[in-house]
Amino acid sequence: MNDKGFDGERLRSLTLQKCDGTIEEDGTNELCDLLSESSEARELYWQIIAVHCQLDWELGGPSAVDAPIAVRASDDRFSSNYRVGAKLFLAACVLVAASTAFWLYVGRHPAALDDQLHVKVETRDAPVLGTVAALGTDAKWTFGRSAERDSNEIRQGDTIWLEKGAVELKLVGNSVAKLESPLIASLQSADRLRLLKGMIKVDSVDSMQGLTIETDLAEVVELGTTYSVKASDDSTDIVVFDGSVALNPSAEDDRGTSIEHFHSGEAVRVGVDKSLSRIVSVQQSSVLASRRNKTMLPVISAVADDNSRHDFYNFYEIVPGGMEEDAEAFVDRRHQWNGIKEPMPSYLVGGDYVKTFNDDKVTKELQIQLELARPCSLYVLLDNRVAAPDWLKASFDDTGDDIGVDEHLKHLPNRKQIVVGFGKSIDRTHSIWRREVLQPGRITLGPNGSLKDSSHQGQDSPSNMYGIVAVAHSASESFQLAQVDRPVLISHRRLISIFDLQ
Amino acid sequence: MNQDDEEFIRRMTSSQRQLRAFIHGLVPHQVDADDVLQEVNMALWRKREKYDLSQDFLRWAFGFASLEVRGLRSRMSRDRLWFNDSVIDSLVEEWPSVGAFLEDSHRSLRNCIQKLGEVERRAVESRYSKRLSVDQIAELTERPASTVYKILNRARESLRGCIERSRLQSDGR
Repeated sequence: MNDKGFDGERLRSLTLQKCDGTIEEDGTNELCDLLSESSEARELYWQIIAVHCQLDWELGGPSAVDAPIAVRASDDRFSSNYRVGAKLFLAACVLVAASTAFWLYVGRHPAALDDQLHVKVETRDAPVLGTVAALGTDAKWTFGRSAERDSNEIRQGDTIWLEKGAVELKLVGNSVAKLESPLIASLQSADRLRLLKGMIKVDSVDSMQGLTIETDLAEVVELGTTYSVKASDDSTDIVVFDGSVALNPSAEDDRGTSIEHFHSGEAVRVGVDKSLSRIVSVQQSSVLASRRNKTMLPVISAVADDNSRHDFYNFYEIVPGGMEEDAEAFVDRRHQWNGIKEPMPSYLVGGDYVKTFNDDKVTKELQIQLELARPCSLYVLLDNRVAAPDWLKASFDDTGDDIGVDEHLKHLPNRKQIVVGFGKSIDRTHSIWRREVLQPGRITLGPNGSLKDSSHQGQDSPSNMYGIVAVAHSASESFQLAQVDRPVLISHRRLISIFDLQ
Repeated sequence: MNQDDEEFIRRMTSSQRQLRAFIHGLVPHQVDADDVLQEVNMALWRKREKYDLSQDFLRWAFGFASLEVRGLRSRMSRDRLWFNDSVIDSLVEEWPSVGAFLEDSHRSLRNCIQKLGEVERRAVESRYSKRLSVDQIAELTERPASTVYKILNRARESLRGCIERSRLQSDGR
């Protein structure tokens, strides 16, 4: 008994037993009695708890609990009621893989066996389903549990709160997802993630099983694909970069009657009333798109068109600073821009470009509106198999330079593949047309040209849609181009301000 | 996501240390404490529109945490390791005075660990860094488990005293 009227020594002992998980019923009752006695006793109790939690938080390192994943995956408490078969298969695979890795490791490091046998396995923990790694240096996240010791392991049922930066989530089935802050998401299982807020991009092309994303408004089931989902209060946006997804906009109320499929190059917004609308313009952050370059001042800020069919969901993707060898040319094909025999013209490299959709190549009345944020040189890359349309001839000059397209033709028997670098595997050539834009604002482009060979028309036309590139003027170039009374500086360029084009 | 949501997430992530300690002190098992914390986080998020950014976030969050703990207690009424309602109420009332201690411990803990004796420091590292149980530490060090308990308890009590002294010094008392 201390001078404050309670047995401090006993209180310490019992509180620490509680911290260590060894306290029993009698001890709990005794601790209750002690805590009832005085405010000082409760203050001491809280201080001991605080030290314990602080130690747990500060000193915790990665836990050595990888091997028992499969055992814990079968814990009834955490089993979900869907895809049980798939999960058992996955668990078996993981067990085999983990066991193999373990015995290989032990074979090389005999001492490891002793370490492994001494590691405590907390069987009440949910199974580890993946790891989280920072993309960049500023990522900050929490799982809302004894955080630091498990900060790179994500378990079934964990909710990740991503406050800053971006992280990569690798799941046991090999699905990889990039998460961008601010984001809140809960991992339901190895193949299902609930997204409450924020943006996630999933790459499951090489995975054993796909990753389904559910939000308040929709369920997106991937079918071997790369896609992104963005959840906000009043909408869920889905963008398919490769492959296909099945979208069930009624996931929450379980009607399940309106599943629709979306494919590479399509983007759709699900509204609070479960209505679907087209997302016309998409722009990925450099982190999600895995781009090395970061353009601070984008030139192309938005793209739109006059397509208004209700079942039409193709999008344009703006790639800031992304024009380079092997840049993907279209959102719905895996074709790439490349120099034909030499590197592509240097004036294009590093420019913002738009991945158009190749299915647009035969839309006769098409109008594409570009929102340009800065004075720039604007380029249209036109397939040489089509005649230059009047709108292009009227407002652009043919530079005389060409650029190549390395086509990925998956429908051919030998599946013609794309090749890295210029001068290889070039299938088509496009002429480069240019005009100068002196002020920010909207520019309207017209439809693709008609085939010179009129025997091939329609959707199966053997031509490509044109490409769009914008390269910002430097400050000095803008100044020079603005001096229209000094034609020597601009003789090779057609000067058109946006006001000439509206 | 609007700026209020971003600020809300920032405050949420910053409050995890305090919330977890609070919940851990009221819930018998660590795994359950982690589950409660996740539930609390989700409840806070769902109710974020009722939160005014000028409010003390922790005070607001502890209200949810208390409710969640009581809810879990009623669901686990057969578990004999829970405190009774009266003790839980008293501990919740007492928490505000401990929040400052926790914050101070965050600042001075590592310094205090360095002041521990070699045996105590190794015991703390084994228990918290390597996540070994007392029995495992006993086996590794070839000491009786009761001795390991004593060493660990001595170390944690030394740390508590060191943090308390650091607080008094920084307060100029």
